[in-house]
Parts: sequence; structure tokens; C-alpha cells
Amino acid sequence: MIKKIISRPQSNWTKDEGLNNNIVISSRIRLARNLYKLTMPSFQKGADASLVLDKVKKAVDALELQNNELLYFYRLNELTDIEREILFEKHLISSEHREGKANKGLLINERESVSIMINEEDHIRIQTLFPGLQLDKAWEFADDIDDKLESQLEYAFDQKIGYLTSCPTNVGTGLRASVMVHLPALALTKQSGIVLNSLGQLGLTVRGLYGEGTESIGNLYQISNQVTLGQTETEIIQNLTTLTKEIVQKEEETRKWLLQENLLQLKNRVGRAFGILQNSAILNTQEALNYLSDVRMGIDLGIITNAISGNNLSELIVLAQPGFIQRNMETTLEPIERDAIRADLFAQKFRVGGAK
Amino acid sequence: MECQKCKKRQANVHITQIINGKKIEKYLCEQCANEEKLNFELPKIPLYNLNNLLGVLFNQPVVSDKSTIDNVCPNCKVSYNKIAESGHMGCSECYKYFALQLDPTLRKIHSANLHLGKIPKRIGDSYRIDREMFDLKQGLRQAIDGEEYEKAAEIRDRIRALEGKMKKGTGEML
Repeated sequence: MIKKIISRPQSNWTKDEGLNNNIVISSRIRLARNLYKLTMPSFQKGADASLVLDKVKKAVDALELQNNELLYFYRLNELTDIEREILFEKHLISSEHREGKANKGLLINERESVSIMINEEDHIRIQTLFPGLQLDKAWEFADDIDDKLESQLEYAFDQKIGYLTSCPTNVGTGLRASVMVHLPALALTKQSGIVLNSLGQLGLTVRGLYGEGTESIGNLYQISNQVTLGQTETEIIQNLTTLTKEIVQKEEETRKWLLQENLLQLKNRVGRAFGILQNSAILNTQEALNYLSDVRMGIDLGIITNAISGNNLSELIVLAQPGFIQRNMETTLEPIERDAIRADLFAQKFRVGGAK
Repeated sequence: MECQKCKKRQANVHITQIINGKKIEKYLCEQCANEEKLNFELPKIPLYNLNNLLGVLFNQPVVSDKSTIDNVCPNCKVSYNKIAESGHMGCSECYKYFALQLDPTLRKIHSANLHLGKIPKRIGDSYRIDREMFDLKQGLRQAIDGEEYEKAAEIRDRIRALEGKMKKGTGEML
């Protein structure tokens, strides 16, 4: 299964489905769970960690999951560097898990709609990923998998403070709900800072494309809940959904304004971005994502024709990543070689179409 | 004036650096100045240092209070000191053992200290009923505050039914 996953840019979250999927790229639910009395990963020794891995694997085997819930098990240290890199680039594992240390595990289904990390910061981290704004659907799926695991495993739970997690910032529901949004118009008009900062006051956190400590590239932002204790899962999800809709509306209003008041500049920007993606000989990841952002907005607004061959725009975000570029290579490529291959690839994708 | 570094070429770059309040003046030629690649930016702070900020939220025991610092969780043998330092718990029992110290930490992080979300099915029914009762009573207060009396009456009936169930439950258990 892993070969299939790393060979395709498609993932469950890259589909053209879900509410507002032109602006909300994906919705993610993460549940942090730990096993009763067992030493948590921050203080684990090798034997503690391997015990957790065995217990979770046995639990999943015992469940005899079928169809979409059928999970494939991998030890991270048995995967290659490139395989781990691509799993990370597809948002299926964290940067910590990417390091591939001993006794780190992954359970994943064929559609890539659920990935469970074992011995990450917590013993178990269930993650579901869906395209567009559908946090409720992602929650239902995660909740269901969680119920099933719980029927086989003894979770660490306290009646007063809920699910016990490695870090007290996750205690309670252990739930982190997040959306990845594409906000080029807000960024262009220098409003994104104001809008995103105000989210902090509403209990939400904003991060870059690859989570904690990363910069925003390609005008992509991840917005998630901060508080996990004292609110129900439904409240957390509804709150984030409502505020995401609000942000989508702000982005749309700003796009409309740009279209009415600055059409010439907008056409210029979008057309140039398309031209660069179509004609470059050297293209790095950051450039690719930034120009993709302009092109995506141009397509959304009907300024350019959608003529990308073979893939949709979300898949191109994956295609642009350094690990994915090297998926079929035996050796690690020099950055300049990767940039040349990437430029070639994008030139093919954007061969036809362009400004109207 | 000759360059202070190569002592050959003419110095044409004047640099004044103030490091920790100490003023350092340098007269260099352009080439030497370039070679030195003077970097006035702040050094990069490694990310793991930022994670440790969380430790600040943990109740720091008074230094003289050796007993709390050295106290270890009887289950995983991790000390409170280690937990506060790393911002991470040793095991689920740490939450119980260090509950007193952790309560203010949780309130600082979440502005709350009571879980209202999902409950594992394994946890006994009596606890589930307790929680249902808590939720209903909260709903009742909200309904009354919002002057939704019809809804309030409905919730009141459900509370009564639940109370009946609880009594019956204890009766059976005895």
C-alpha cells in the first residue's frame, strides 16, 4: 500500500469535494489518546515504546476492520527516507514522525482519509483528512475509529479532566480540528495579518502549510482550535466551522473588490504567474506554490482558463514538493536538479490555456 | 588610515558595533568587511527552546520546597521537576499524583478544568448518568435565563426521569 500512496499526488484531501473547496483546501481532525499507566512517549524507553506498538497493532488486528476502515501497519524505521518525506508532504505524518526513529508506527487506509500515528507525542494520534470544509464528516470518521480502538484498548481517561495526554495543552477532548485555507486576496491586500491575528482572540491558532513553526507559503494557512478542555467536540468543531465560513466570506468579498477595482493589475499578476509556471526551466518549491496560488485565484475568478492536464490544483501542491519530485529516483538529487525537473513537470501541466 | 585587519589596503568602511552595551569600533577595507560578513541579525533560536516555554505555565514549586521537586510519580518514576521542565507528562498516573500542582496549569492553558466532551464507553454507566444530569441542569439554567419556559419544562421532566433511574440504580446495587 505504501508504494501506491507515495507514487500518487492524489490524497483524500486533494479531491474536488466538500463545501467551499476553492478556498478551504482541507479539513483535519486529530485525536490524542494514550494507554492507561504506560509511560508516555516523552519519557519512553525502547521496551515501553515497543509494548505500545504491539498493543495497538494487536488491537487493530482483532478489530478485523473492513473496506474503507482497513488499516495497513508500518514501522517508520522500515520505510525509506523518501517514503517518509512524501508521507509528511501529504500531511499524513508529522515532522517528528518523519525522522523515522525506532518504535514509531503508522496505520493508514487506502484512501488516505485516516492515518494513525503510534508513539508520536502521544501513544496514539488518530487523524482524519477530508477535502473542503467538512470538519463534521472528518469528526464522525475519527470518532468511529476511536470507538473501535477503545473497545480493544484501555485508554487513559479521567472523569474530571477527560482524555489524558502527554502535553497538558491537549488534555480533555484531545481534539485538534483544523482547516487549510487559501487566502490570496486577503494576503494581496495586506488584510490577512489583521484577520488572522483577530482569530487568536477567539481561541484559534494560525500556522503555515506544514504546521507548527512553519511560514505560510503560497498563501496557505492552517487554522485550528487552541483549547481542548471545557468544551465539547461539537462546540469546538462548530466554532471553527463558523469562523472559517466568515473568513471565506471575507476572502470572497476582497476578491470581488479586486475584480471590480483592480482588474488590470489582477489580470497582470495571474497571467504572469501562469507564464512563469508554463515557461520556467528552474523552479523551486516556494516559487511553484506562490505562483500556483495566483493561478488558483485566477481560475476561481475566471480570469484564466483551467487547462491543467491530468491533475487538479491541490494535487499540484503535492507535486511541487521536493520529496515527491524524487519519488522515482534512486539517489537524492541536488536542489538545482529537482528545480529543473519541477520546472519541466509544471511546463507540461500548464502547456495549454492561459489568460482569456 | 590602513585597514585594521589586512593592514595593507586603505580602510574605507567604519563599523560601530554595540554588543552587550560595549562599543566596538572597526576600520576595515571593503574587502575585509565583506569577508567578515558582519551579521547583525539575531542568532537563530532553536525550536526546542520555544517548546520549553510551556514549562513556565507549570506551577514552579518554591526552591526550598525540595519535597515537591524531587517527588516522583509512583507509577512511571518521573519527577515533577522533569515534567515542569519538559512540559510533558510521564504517564496517565502523573495527572492523578500531581493533580494539585496541575490544576492551576490546566486553568491557565484552557481557562477551564472540567472535561465536557466524549466519554469512553468503558467508563461505568453511573458516571455517564452523572454527566447527563450535569448537562441537563446546565441546559435548564440556560433555558430559564433565555425565558424558554416550554423547553425548561421539558428538561425538568427529563431530569426527574433520570433521578428516578438513579434511585432505582442505587437500589439495585445495594
